[in-house]
Amino acid sequence: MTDDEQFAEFAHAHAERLRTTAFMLCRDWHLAQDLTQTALTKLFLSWRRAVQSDNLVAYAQKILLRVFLDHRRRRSSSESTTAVLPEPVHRDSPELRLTMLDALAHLPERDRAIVVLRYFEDYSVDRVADVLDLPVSVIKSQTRRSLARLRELLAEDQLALFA
Amino acid sequence: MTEDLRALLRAELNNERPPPLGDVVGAALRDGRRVRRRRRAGFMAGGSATVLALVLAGGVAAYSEPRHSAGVGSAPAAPVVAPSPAATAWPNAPGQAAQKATVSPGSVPVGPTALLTGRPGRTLAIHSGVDQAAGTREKATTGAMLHLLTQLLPAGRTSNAAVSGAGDPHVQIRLDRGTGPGLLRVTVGLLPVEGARPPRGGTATVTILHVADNCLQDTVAIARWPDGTAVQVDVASCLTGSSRGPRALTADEAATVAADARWGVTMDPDLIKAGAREFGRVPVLVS
Repeated sequence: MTDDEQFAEFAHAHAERLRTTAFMLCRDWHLAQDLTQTALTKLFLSWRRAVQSDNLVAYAQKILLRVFLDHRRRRSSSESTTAVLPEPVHRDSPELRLTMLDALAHLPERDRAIVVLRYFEDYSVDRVADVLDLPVSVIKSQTRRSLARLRELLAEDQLALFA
Repeated sequence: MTEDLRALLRAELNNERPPPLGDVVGAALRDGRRVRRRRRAGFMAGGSATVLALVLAGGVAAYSEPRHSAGVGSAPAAPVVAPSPAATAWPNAPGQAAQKATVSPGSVPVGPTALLTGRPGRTLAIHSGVDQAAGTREKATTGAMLHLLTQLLPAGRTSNAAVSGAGDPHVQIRLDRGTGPGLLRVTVGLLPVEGARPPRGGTATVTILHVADNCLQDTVAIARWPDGTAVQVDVASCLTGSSRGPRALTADEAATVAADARWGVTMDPDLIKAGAREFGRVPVLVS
């Protein structure tokens, strides 16, 4: 089997999962598809190095996260930011309460990536640190802050999850 | 907590209606291959430029130094041209008998290029038998280069001819001599010379190099003529940078191809016409 065939086999098997991860990061299926395609292209170009890694899926996730963060960084130069986010309205209107995915979207990109990797992909702290090229201590502290922020945003019935 | 969080996220994801995944894998493969081709073309162009730059440096050094070497006393180092079985066994194209090449390994060491490679190189003097091209000459075309190249190649099946779109005339082709296709490339340029440009001359100085870690330039033969004409023949040991393949020519064969007197930035009008007829519509390399 050639390198290209090996790559295609891997990509077909994991493209859906990568797109799901991308969607959780960006909350936009079309952007998630673009990010996935870009990540797979980069994976293809570094395939020989990738196959030597311990965990090929994690390697692909790492590329995807970098593609996502790079995309946000490029966009941020043309976006205006506000210092204060609008107050969540879910506490008074249960039908409008934020979902977990909505709440995730309120986190900064890097913190969002940490939560997705830790609590959706079930990566260890060490592996998240490796994927994001951050110290373990930063992952731990940012995880705590992210969970605290999610607590603020989510409705009472979902807060039990953080007990 | 982790399991609960994950379950909640999965439940919310299940409520999503994602669009069909589409052909992201196919698109990634296409994009990746295109990027890889561009990188390779850039790498090849960079490699060729490097080699030509080395040759240029060697050429300038050769012309600026006396034509004798230390250790030979004051005797002029006239080219000693002796027949080489490897070169004389080369099947010449029709009409090429008057230009039969002779190769003498190590006959006239010129320039420092041999010291610049990982594997030892060597320099040869190849006498063309003609001092000046006869008749009118026209600006060389890539079609004419491909035509001449196919005339000079030994028996075998040629395929995948392609030409450069800009810069120095550059062509490539695959030659299968029965052991599988091997990639060949030829670039022709005119190097600057000090003072007035001399006539073409009858002897080419051919340097043979082996470029380490670049299978596309496994063997490089560069012929330099006194008037600055430089012809570079790259013999690859792979087709795409990853898949290994046979070498289409030996080093001596590559040297003989490079030293053919018909190469140049101007070429014979008959070659131009034949090239336009045969290779007028070959693919153009992108970089």
